[in-house]
Formats: sequence, C-alpha cells, structure tokens
Amino acid sequence: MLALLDGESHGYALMQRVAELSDGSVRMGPGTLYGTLKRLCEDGLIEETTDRKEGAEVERRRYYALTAGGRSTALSELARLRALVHRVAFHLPRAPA
Amino acid sequence: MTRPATVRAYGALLVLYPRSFRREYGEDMALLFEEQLRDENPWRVCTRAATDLALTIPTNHLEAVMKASTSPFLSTLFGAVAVAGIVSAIVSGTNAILALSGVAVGVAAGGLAAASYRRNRPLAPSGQTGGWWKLLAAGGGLLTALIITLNVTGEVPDGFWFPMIITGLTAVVLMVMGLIGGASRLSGTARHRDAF
Repeated sequence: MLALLDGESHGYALMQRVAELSDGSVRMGPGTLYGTLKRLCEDGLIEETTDRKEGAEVERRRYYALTAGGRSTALSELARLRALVHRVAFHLPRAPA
Repeated sequence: MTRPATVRAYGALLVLYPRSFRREYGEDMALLFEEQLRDENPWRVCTRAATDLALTIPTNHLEAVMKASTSPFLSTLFGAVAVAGIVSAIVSGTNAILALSGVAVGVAAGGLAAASYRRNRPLAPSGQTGGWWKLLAAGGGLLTALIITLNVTGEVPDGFWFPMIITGLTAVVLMVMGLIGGASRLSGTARHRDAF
C-alpha cells in the first residue's frame, strides 16, 4: 500500500517499488503480489483503475490505485510506524561516544 | 511471439492455484514472471518463483476453503451457541461448575462467531475497535458479579428477577460487543501487517 502512495501502478512496477522501498530486502513473487492485491481489492483499500497509457505493452497490464479509504489507512499506518520507531529509538540506550 | 519454455512451465504450474484466482490473475502472473526473467538473473527468479509457488498455492486454497465455509449461517450458529452458553450460566443458580462451563462455552462460541462474522466485513480502520477489552472486561465483571450474587444469596428474592435479567442481558451484550471488537482488531492487525 505504501508503494501505491505515489499513484497508480501495475504489478511489475509495484514489485520493483517494494524492492526499492525495502532496499532490496523484500522481493515478492507473483503469487504473493497478486494474492495481496486480491485481498486489498476485496477489502476496498485499492481498486483497479481503467486509465491506460498508450502503447501495446501497457495495454496488457492492469493498474491499481489506492481508494480514498486505502490512502487514509496507509497514511495512518505510516504515522503509526513512525511513532513506533520514534518511541523505540527514544528508549534505547545511547551508544558510547 | 512464443513465450520461453520457462515461462510456459510457470504458466502450467499456475493450474495448481484455485480456479477463481487463476482466472483473475493467472495471465498477469505469467506476464510478471516473464518480465522478471527479462530483467533479473534467471536462476534467482526461478528459485524465488518456486518458493513463492510453494507458499502461496496452499495459502490460496486455504483461503478459498475458508471463504466458502464462512457464511452468515455459521456466525449466527456460533452466536446462538454463545448466547445459550451465557444464558445457561445465568440460570445455573448455585452450581458453580455449570456456571463456569456456560461462561466458557459462551466466550468460546462468541469468539468463533465474531471471527466468522469478521471474515465477511471490510477491513476496520485502525483505532476504531481499540476499546474492545474494556467492553469485554465490563461484561465479564458484571456477569461474574451476577453469578457470585446468585451463589451467595441462593435464591432470588421477589422483585429482583427483572433487574437481574436486565443485568445479565447487558453483560452478554457487552461481552459479545467486546468479542466482536477484539476479533476485528486482531484480524485487522494481521491483515494490516500483510498489506504493508
């Protein structure tokens, strides 16, 4: 979902974006990616968009975008993760200088 | 243009997914695999795809089975068992074992009803079900107090039946609401984790 905050995207671009956001530590397979997209669609957090760019190659792809509720959920999750990291960092012992 | 043999082999393996999933996403998955092969180390892509297939095929089948078995009937049935359990705990009088068994059955069936009901609902926004444990604790406390009172007094004095029934029903409603909220929270957290 965080990978879709920039705007609509297709499966392969999403997979690359996830790898980029995780510095290459998360590389999804097709089954994982489309399983997740299916669940997110069913939950109403993302939707398939009808916009298509010109060109034969892109015509074959399906694009996905966050719904209003999905964007709100993604942003609140982002805020929660930020707050969690901040809290944990605050309570960790400081490294000796 | 014909696809490479590796892509055709991957396409053939997609038959192992549930039919609905394969129809919806099979073509996209094969296209994605083809693009990965084009841009990355083929050996690494094939290894990753094999792991992915091994993990996601059983998961998808399990999801399909659970979705098929989840119906309003199932959650209603569990809900009815939960209410019956709680009611039997209330009317069990001085028998503590019966009362505790009733509460246990009620809580377990209520949890199953909530989980079953939750599967058919969209993802709850985080924070909306945060107070579930307060409802559960309040209902549980009220019910425990009622059972203790019944056990201590032995029999209900005239004129106290109506307030006791109202108290019992309030406790049941609070506990069921708490259970539904808790299951929503738990399920929502797990699904949020998957989503991100």
